[in-house]
Amino acid sequence: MRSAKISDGVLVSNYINGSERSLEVLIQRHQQRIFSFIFSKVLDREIAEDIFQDTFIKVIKTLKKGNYNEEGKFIPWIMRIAHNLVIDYFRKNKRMPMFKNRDDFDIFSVISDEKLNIENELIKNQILNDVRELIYELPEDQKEVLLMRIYKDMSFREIAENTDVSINTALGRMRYALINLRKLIEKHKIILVN
Amino acid sequence: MMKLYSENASVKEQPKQKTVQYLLNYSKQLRIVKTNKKQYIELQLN
Repeated sequence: MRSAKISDGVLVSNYINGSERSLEVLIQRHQQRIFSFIFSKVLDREIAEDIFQDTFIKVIKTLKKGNYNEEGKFIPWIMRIAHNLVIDYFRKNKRMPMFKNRDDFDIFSVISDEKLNIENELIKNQILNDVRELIYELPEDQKEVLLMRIYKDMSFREIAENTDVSINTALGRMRYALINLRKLIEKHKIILVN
Repeated sequence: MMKLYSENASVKEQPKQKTVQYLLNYSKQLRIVKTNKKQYIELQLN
């Protein structure tokens, strides 16, 4: 099988029709991207292996049940599954570190810096992990918009359609989510060191 | 809009081969049976 010339959609279709080799091609084609994504969030190889495995078990079950509609979005679909499992992992392992707060530092100045060295990358990821925990303390509508925007990389138009509100409402909820997130960072005295 | 969470990983990692092999074996051994009540039964056949 010339896997390089066969689209994901065809491979999925072949797999659903019984071709186990197609699944192997799909995994080989996308494993690095998916695993790298998971690992970059959990920063633990064993945990990343588990989440990677759980991701594909869900994929396999859904495909074999015939519950998947091929719309040319196979990899975004898998990434969303991996996203959600990463979030589930952090929910089960809640950590609320207590640090001193510094008034002269803004978390977004760290996150927006794309030229971090390895050490700062680790610090940034730790901060991101801490911030993720705070997101779950937000009001439901604000949390929902924030998770869709940040974790699912949805546009505000998509968020508005999914939550049945206007785009302006979605934007407003996002604005208040960030305002409240800053207040929660202050409340929990999380230090945002650079 | 500033992204706090990016799908672009800065590291390039691969899962272990045994993990991938487990998934392939899992798929080969899995049979899904749909009942009359539209419920699914998952069978692991060795």
